Order: sequence, then structure tokens, then C-alpha cells
Amino acid sequence: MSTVHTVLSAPTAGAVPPVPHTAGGALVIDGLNAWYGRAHVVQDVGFAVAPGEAVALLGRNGAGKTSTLRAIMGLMPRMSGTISYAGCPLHRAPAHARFHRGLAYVPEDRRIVPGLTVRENIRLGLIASRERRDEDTVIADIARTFPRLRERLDQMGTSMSGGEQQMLSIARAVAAGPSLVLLDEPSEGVSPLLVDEMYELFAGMKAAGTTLLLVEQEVERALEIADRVCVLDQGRLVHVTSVDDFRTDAAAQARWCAL
Amino acid sequence: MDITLDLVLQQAVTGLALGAVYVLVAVGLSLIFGLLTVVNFAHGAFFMVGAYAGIATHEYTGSFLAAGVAAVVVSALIGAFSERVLVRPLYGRGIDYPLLLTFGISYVLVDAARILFGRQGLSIDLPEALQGGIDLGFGYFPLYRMLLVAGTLVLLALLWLGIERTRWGLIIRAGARDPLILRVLGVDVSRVWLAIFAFGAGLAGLAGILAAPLRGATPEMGDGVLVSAFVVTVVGGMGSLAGAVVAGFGLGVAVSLTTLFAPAFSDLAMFVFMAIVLLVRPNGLFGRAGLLS
Repeated sequence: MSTVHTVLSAPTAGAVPPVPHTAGGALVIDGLNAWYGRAHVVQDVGFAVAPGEAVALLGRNGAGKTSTLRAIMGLMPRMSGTISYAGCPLHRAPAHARFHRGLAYVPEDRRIVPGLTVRENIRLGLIASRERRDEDTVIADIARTFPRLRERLDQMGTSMSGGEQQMLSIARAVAAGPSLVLLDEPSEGVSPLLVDEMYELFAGMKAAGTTLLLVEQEVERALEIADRVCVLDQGRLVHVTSVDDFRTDAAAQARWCAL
Repeated sequence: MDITLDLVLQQAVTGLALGAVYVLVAVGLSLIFGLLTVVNFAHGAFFMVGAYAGIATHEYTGSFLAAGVAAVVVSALIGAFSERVLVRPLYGRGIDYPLLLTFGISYVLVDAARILFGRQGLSIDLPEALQGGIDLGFGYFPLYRMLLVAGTLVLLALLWLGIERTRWGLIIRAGARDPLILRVLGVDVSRVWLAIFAFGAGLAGLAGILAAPLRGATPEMGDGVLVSAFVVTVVGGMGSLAGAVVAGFGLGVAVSLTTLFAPAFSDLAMFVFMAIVLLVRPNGLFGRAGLLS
């Protein structure tokens, strides 16, 4: 099964909705606190994301959204509280072990590795995968799903435009077929046309059963694919609601998300 | 003394052999710095450990090959232990902590060699097959030095292939630039660091036993080599493998030829060379700007 292609382009792929290779489960976060030095950036945050659900994590700059994603991926220098995924506690596991549990993280700054070609950057996404999938097949699938990367496979990853680098960062993160994808500000600094393409991809991933946790400044974009909204403000979780309710709640949008 | 072309060429080969030793030591030093940001002051001691482990093995087995294997294995194991148990708790604390620690490791290893093997040093004879010289038509050259240079070049070619073409190489190239993304993509970087430290120490140990037939082994033999290897990595550019190779052979030849033309300046030659390179290129021949910033 050509997993990446199937996962990402599910809406048009056929009648049977394919499932991600790693059996997903609920992400449950409870009493999460995280610090940068003395700054207490995430304070007693708790929420859950159901399998196959898309949750948008919204809030102003500095609300603690990125720190929450980093804590879920195991990248915060200091944290407390519990995080479990598909019934397994994750909060003591190092970042690389969380990858093997089916988590993928697309960082805000993309982190395309300098000195490596596009192909090598994608290869990095498979390098630790225990599935031992055929690399050429996966790269061919990615080239189909991300047509913009196809002609650029052998050029340096960092020589591409910001939007293309964002695509590469996503392609690399999903190469191993994760069941939960953490996306940090994917639309930031990306041209509107590419953002459209990107959100089509996310919709495809969601339709294929991949769970999404999305941090996004562009609220409207996030509401396009999200099922629920969690709002953070000054490190605290202040609001959890359905997308429909949030969309009509101008007061909440103005209070927590207006720039 | 007449300086003939023959003599210059012979001295250049001697310089290349010296350079091969520098390169083997500096490549490990450079890899360890490039990936772990550890300035490894124990690297000269690993060189010495390789020489002693090899000579001791040679006494029991009589085999030069076994001596080489023992040199690599023992120094790599001591390197692995140093990283796993001693250096690792200091990551994230700034560059000076591991620097001082490895300085201490080096003192412990040098004193251990004095206690175990005595202060006056040991020597090892080359097997007969490697003694003597070969006539290349334009001069008569020592066989072992030629083999040392050729062997180092083969090893470097294999290392280059490994780094450019293999899965491990990709991990090393990515890890030198962005260890965080490796962790996020499922790589246990602490294992990569352990392997790199052990590999670098093993290379230094190999250099130690390969240099031992030419210069013998003393507990302090690593000190001078460490200084030279640091000069090589600085001239080549910190963390750059290609830089370490070019600068290593270049400095070996420069030192060796200075010995021929102006013996009084031979110790100085290396540092003059370094000063000139750094004046022209502050990051070394192949260095990246801002690596330490």
C-alpha cells in the first residue's frame, strides 16, 4: 500500500477510507505545566483529542500554543503533568520514542536541514521508521502528493521558497505514516495559493483518519478543517468549544484571538 | 649538507606520513566537535592508549594486525565509557564544562599509563614485510610511511563514502546541523553521539599504534599530537572533515620541509602557518561562520 499517497489524498482515492498504518487513539493531556527557565509558559492545561479528530489550538502570540505542542512532542526543557496517547503514557518518553508511538511534529520554523537535498530531507523522515518501507516508493508517493517538490528533489532544501520549505517540512513529517500530526503555524509566511494547497492536504489527512492538532494564527483557516477549538490565553486553557459555536461567537474571537 | 630533489621528496613523504597521523587524530576531533560541540582534550590520551594497547597486544600475540585491532577497540571502548558516563551529564551546560572534564580524563589516562607501563616508554618493531623501502624510479622511499599515507587515504575515502552515501552518514550530516529535528523524526541522538565519540576515539587509537613504530610510545606522546590536531582542525575549519584532511596533510608536509630547510624553526612552522591562515580566513579553510555563536 502506498501509504503516504493514500493517507494524504484520501478524498479522491476511492470508496474505502484508508487508515494510517499506526493505529491511532485519543491524545489525553492533563494538568500540563511547562517552563522556559523561570517563565511558566503552560499552566495546568488539560484537553483531549479523539482519534481522527482535528482540534485547533488558538490564541494570541505568547499564549503558550507552541510550548504546548513542544511539550506533547517532548521538547520542553521542564514540564509536569501527564500526556497519554492511545492509552500509553508519553510524558516521560523522550521525543524520539514519541515518534515511534505515531506522533509527528511540524515545527513553526520548518527546520529544513541545510546542506541536504529535498530528497535527503524526506529520507530523514523515514530514517528511524521501523516499518522499513521502500524508500523509493515513499519518495515517489510524496512526489505525487506534493507536486511542487517533485522537480526539486535533488536541489538543496533550503534553496526553496518559504512555502515550498513548509511543504517539505510536512512531507518529511508524514513520510513515516504518523497517526497524530502536530502542526505549528503551517500558514505563516506562506503565499495564499500554497496555503490553499496545504489545507487541502490537511483535509485529506483528516479524511484518511489521521488525528490533527493545529496551532494557527489565521483563525478562519483553522476553522475550515477543525472539529473543535481550544483557546489558550497567557498559558492557560480558557475556552473549549465546537467550531460552529466558536465561529458565531464574535465576542470570544475578539477577546482571545484578535491581534 | 646539499639539499637535493631526492631529499626534498623523501622529506615530503615523511611529512605526508606525519600528516596522515594528524589527519586520523583530527578527523575524530572534528567529528566530535561538529556533532557534540565537545572540544575533546582527551583525544591525545586516546592516541596514547591506542599505542600502548597495541604494543601490549603485540607482545602477547606477535601480530601487528592484532595490535591494530586492539588499539582501535580499547581506545573506542574508553571513549565510549567517557562519553556515556562522564561527558553526557554535562550536555547543555556550555562548551567549557566538557572541555575541562576531558582535560581531566586525559590526566587520568596518562597517569594510568605511567603506573601500568612505566615512565620511560615502549617501542614496537615493524614486521619484516613492512620494513625497508621501495624504489619509485625517482627515489628510494620508506615502505611503511608510504603504506601509512595510502592506508589513511583509503580509510578517508571509505569514511567519505559512508558519510555521503549511507543511512548513518545522513544521520551524521543532519545531526551536525540540527539534532532537534533528528529527535523529532525518531532518532535517538544520544546513541549517535555515543557512537561518534567512540568512533573518533578509535581513530585516534589507530593513529597511535600506526605512529608507534616511528616514534615509540610514551605516556605523554598524546600531548604534542593533540596540539597539532587542534591546529589542524582550526586551520581546516572547526567541524569540517575536508578541512581536517587538507590541513592535516598540508601541515605535515610544511613541518617536515621546515625541518629540512630551517631545522630551528620546525616547531614554529605549524603555528606560523595557522596564524597566516586565520588572518586570511578567520573560520579556517573550510569553516562555517558563526559555528560557535
